[in-house]
Amino acid sequence: MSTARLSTASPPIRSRDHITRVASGLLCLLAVVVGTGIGALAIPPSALASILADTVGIDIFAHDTTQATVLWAIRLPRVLLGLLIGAALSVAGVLMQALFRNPLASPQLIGVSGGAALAAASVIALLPAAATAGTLGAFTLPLGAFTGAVAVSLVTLRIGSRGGTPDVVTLLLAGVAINALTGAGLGLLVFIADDAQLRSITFWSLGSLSAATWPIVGALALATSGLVAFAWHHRTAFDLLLLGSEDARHLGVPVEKLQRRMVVVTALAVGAAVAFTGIIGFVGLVVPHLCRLWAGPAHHRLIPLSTLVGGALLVFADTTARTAVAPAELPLGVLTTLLGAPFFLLLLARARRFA
Amino acid sequence: MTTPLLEATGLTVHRNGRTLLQDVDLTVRAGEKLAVIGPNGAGKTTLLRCLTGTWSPDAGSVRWDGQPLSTHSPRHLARSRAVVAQRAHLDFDFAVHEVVAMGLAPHSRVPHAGHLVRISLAEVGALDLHDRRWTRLSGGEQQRVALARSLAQLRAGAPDRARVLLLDEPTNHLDPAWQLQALSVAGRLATEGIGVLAILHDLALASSWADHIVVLDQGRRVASGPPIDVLTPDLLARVFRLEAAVVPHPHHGRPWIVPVHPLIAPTRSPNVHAATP
Amino acid sequence: MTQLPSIRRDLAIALLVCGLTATTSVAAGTIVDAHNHTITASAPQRIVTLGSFTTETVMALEQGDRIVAADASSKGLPGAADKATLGYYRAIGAEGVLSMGPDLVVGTEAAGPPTALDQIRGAGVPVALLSDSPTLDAATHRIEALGTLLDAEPAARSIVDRIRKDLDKAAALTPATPARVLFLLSHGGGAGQMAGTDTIAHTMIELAGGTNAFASQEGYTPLTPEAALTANPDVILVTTRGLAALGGEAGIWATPGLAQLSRDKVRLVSMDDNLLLGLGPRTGEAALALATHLYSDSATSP
Repeated sequence: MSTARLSTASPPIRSRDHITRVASGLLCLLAVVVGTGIGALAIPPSALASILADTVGIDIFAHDTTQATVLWAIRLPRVLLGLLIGAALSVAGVLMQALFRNPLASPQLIGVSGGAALAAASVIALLPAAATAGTLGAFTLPLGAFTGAVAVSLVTLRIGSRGGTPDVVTLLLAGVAINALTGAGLGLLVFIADDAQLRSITFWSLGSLSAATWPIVGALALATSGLVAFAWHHRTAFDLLLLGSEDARHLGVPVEKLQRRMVVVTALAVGAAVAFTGIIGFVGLVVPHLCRLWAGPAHHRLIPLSTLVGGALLVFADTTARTAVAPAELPLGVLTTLLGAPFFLLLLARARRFA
Repeated sequence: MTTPLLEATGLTVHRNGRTLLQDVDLTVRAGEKLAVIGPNGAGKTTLLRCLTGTWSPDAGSVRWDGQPLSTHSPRHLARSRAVVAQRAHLDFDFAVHEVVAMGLAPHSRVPHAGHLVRISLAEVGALDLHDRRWTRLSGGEQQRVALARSLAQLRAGAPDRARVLLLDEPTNHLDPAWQLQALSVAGRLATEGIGVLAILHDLALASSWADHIVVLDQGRRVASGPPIDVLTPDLLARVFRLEAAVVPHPHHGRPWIVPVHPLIAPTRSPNVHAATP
Repeated sequence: MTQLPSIRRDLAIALLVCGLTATTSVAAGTIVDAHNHTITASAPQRIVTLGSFTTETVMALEQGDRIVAADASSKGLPGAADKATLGYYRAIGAEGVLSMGPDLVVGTEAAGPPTALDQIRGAGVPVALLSDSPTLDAATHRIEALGTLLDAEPAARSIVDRIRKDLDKAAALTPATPARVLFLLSHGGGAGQMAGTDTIAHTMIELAGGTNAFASQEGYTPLTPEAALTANPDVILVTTRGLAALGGEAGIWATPGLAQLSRDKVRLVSMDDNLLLGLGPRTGEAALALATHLYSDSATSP
């Protein structure tokens, strides 16, 4: 879409924009600092400084090799993965809310998480245990989950379109039906799974960032930056989509093409995210909602804010998940839902009071 | 000033076994105010959808600036053609000035965008709504803002290009005074060379506003011409099932439709507000 | 595994020998684990165990106080209650494990996720994953491997000997016609599942001198009335927790398929979960206990 910005705002609003940008950036930075500094293994600030100084050859304080390994190989990739996944889920939520013209929409509506869960459960329950063992087998499950996520979303898109043209209402209904189907399939797999498989399926769907390694961070960096770039490029078009398909078309938006692309891009990015982390709920719903309450619905503000806030929030949540019951870890998806759902109810109650 | 901008020829549309439009011709010309009237179900909305390219006709064609509609990209069209829909579907809390600024989206570079937004709002008498939230507006206020958006959309384009404004029953939510103002705003565009088409329900408004009227009935074009030629008692009876006399309006001379069957039985002095001769 | 008592016992001994040989073909303190990694441990003092049989075996080798953390499934073992818990053994966190400062991590081959284990290895901690095949051979091999890793080979051998002796005693109890045993597992929701071949339950039934009534399938299959009746068991075997999950005795006899079985002919036997299904150091003890239930008394026991 064009570069004609909707920044016809008055100076007080522009300075508020500025504050928001700075604050959200700082929040992200704080999340990284907290996430890197806190964990099951104690790395006091002096050791942290020592490890960081070591990279440029300066020798201050002291640290041991385990701390260094944990920091570089485990904690840092995990924090970065949290930022990337949080950003991806939030921006995907923004896209879905623009697509469905509804602030209650989330990527789940197009069947992305249902497809991933079904595929993951299939891999766990139907393939022999050897298929997921070892370093090569470590890719079987994420590959399966990703394939399932994208395939199911594309099927939903197909069903929700009439002659190649996505229709929002039909798409929504298709998503509902597909989610019901994947749920049923999941139930079937749960039924035939044995004890160990059942627990694995359960734990996968509860979500976790513990699989964070640098290659995975690299892959998600690609997926997330692709998604955010796509969203930013179309920020004005998303505003126009909210006017309704016809009005958007009258203002020059290639509505059908854009809607198709929004579904595909969301499926790819969220598919990549859930493939490695399992289902992390409520982030794609609550973060855009929160950001919209603060900064308004215009996407040139909403997209950057959602990216930063989503990333920061997920890092905070993950830091809590891996320290609250150390050395064990709480499932991240449970934590985000436990925090997200009541918060969302609070938002709804507040909205009803003002309606 | 009579250059054809948007031309529909032989438009025919069938949907679900029904014929919505049959062989309809229509031309929107530069600087001309065209009103499309007809009873409910006549096909007016279908016609509009074909003109905007939302629907493809089963037969016939629509040409913009001499070329078939489909050869123009949506964005290219949007730079010169604005549509004001019957209802706004926006359900998000944008500021009014942001909604108006959306009309500038099809254009690449708009200098003084904020200024253009203000002018457009002022033209529809809604400048005081500038910083208000869209969802807090009344239906009528939202209609005015939507019109302002279309004004901004057209004004941001080069004045020498072909430009058209399409209005779908623009006076829906407006009280009588504002109904007139909305149409006069649209009419003012015509003086700038913009072609204006309005689907109207109110025959009196059509009569006093339009340069040219097209009458649709059951999917067919049954009349086309200036108001004085089109609005005859015979047509009113045939198409609108309205028993009326048509006399020259005392103020502007255009056809004035006077229904023949009053709701109240006539008294000894039939003219309650007799015009002062 | 054959089903005739005397041949089975001989085969078991032969496989024990093979297992011993396979383990001792490399240097002491070093084993080749189920993922074909060569693991060397030198007198580990801080051990992390994943999977209850690992925990149980380390404790049986008199080194339980060297365990610094165990997974959630090990918590039920006596003596493991005070260990730090790492959660489900297939979903552990690398940093959590490393924060316990281990010098050896030992678990079943199903422990994971694989990336977490790689990260632990990357920090210089050896990670040994033992096969979780549900056979006696694999069980003894695991005990031997742990013995090698923990420099406790004599203790490991004596555990294996004890198992063999108990298996002999169990074999002695077996009559000419072995009992047909159907093992039921419950998730806590629904009718439960029947154990086919290639399960720990199957191995235990065979070792106790019984016959698996449901040997036509591999793995676990959901219980259906037709399958239960076709299996025609003499004994229904459950674990203590499974018994509770299936609704107790009353619940089991009310289950369609089981309800049709003749109460005079069919008995219900329940045993402790960790004992029956551990397939660890107490394998022989468990087989003997089960054989006793099958052939020496006819009452259910906890």
